[in-house]
Amino acid sequence: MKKYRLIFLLTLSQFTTYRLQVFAQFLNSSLPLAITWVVLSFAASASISSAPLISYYILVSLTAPLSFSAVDEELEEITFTGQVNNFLLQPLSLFRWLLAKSLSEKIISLLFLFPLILLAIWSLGVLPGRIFFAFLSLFISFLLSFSLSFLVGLGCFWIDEFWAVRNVKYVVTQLLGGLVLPYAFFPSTALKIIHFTPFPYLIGWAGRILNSGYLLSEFIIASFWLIIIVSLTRLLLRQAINKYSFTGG
Amino acid sequence: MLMLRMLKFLISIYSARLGRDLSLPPSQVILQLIGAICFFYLHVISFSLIVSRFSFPGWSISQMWILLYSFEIYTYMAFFLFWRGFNHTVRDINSGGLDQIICKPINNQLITFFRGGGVHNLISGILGLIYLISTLMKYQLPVSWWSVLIYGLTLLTSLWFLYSFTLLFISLNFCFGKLTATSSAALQLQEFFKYPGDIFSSASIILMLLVIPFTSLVSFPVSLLLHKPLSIPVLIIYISALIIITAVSQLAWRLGLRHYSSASS
Repeated sequence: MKKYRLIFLLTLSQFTTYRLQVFAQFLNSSLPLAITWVVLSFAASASISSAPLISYYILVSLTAPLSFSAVDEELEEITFTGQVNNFLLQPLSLFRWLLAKSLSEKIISLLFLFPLILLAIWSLGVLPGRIFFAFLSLFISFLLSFSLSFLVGLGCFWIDEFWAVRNVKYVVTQLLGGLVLPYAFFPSTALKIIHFTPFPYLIGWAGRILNSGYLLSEFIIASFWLIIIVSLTRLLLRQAINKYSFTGG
Repeated sequence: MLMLRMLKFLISIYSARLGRDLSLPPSQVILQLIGAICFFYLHVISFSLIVSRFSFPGWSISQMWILLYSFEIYTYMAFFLFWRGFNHTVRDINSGGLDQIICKPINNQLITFFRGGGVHNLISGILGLIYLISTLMKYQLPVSWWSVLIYGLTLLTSLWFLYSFTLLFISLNFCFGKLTATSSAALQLQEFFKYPGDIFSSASIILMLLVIPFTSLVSFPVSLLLHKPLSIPVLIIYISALIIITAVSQLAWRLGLRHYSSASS
């Protein structure tokens, strides 16, 4: 455990040095949401009022960067450059190493975004009872998003054109996670199905809890998916490393 | 004569890349296509959800769909023409690889930024064109040969705007070290491209100046294609932004090259 704490602290100091990178990541995940909000506030609608949309977009764009994981991209890079050899030689777990790095990155992002989140909670009049559950969901979201991204990322051990798989994962999580559009836009039958998938709990969950409350069933479903995905990851990682050593990358 | 040489150069670069892509095993080509087309349908699905709930003053549903498919053609052509060049240039500036490129006896921007494009982007762009034509036929929207020609030319002009805007941001790499995100500076704003610029005519002047150059990139050519009346303020902002961004980006690139000292930039 000590070695992963060291990796965590090392990455923490690296991210505090490159603060611009944290800001760029925040812009990267929040800009499309902000643009959609600006456009929709100038469009006319008979069925949807713009006030709930404003609070939705603000809260989701502030919390989404804290759980969104692009570890599949990093996994692809270290596999294709051969850096993954380090994990065949050293007593390190690839999953835990990347998790420690990712966690430190999110803590820096949280420090950066925390004043803005507090300001949004105060100005939008979010009910205090939701705040604890929002932060709990944020932690589960981060783990779920990381695990799913890692699981998908393992595909790069088998597939040469892995960027295409990454694109599909990105599109599906953005659309079904309520990032491209709020769930208010979705048909009700589709929503009932989406509720039981891991997608609503990956990125925008904490923002939605702050905006419109929570259900206990959501925590149960998210925890269920977390256990399933982590188990699958452990299983597949062993096969991926075997595949890597057979082919030499 | 010079233009012809440049055109020949471009055709040889892009056909070589297309040939390479097409020689890949079919499974890889299909996977690449899926990776590109998934974004195409993401835009279609999200757009259909939006236009089913929101209306955009001055634009009918059919015109909005023409706008969306034009947006698809525009963004995929931008990816096809520039994406590889933008990414590689950021890397080359910081690794010193630009040395080998700029010493060649050909226009340095041409050789730096135009490095071929993936066949998946070209096919996705063609798919957008097929959808555009079928929507025009389905709704029997009146277009003329003249409006099609103007549409094509203004879409190319908008591609030049996107190129210049990104060129400006990439030039920052000469002064501030590796800024990876600069290669996608304009494409980060692509959500703006698929909505009509004139909905912002009631916005504050600052918002108009910031937003309209981007919303007009596609909606301006579409207005010309569909013979829609042009908003004079939008037209002025579009042309002024195009001139300013071209001049500033060319200046920034030249200054950046002067500042360039191989890998130590």
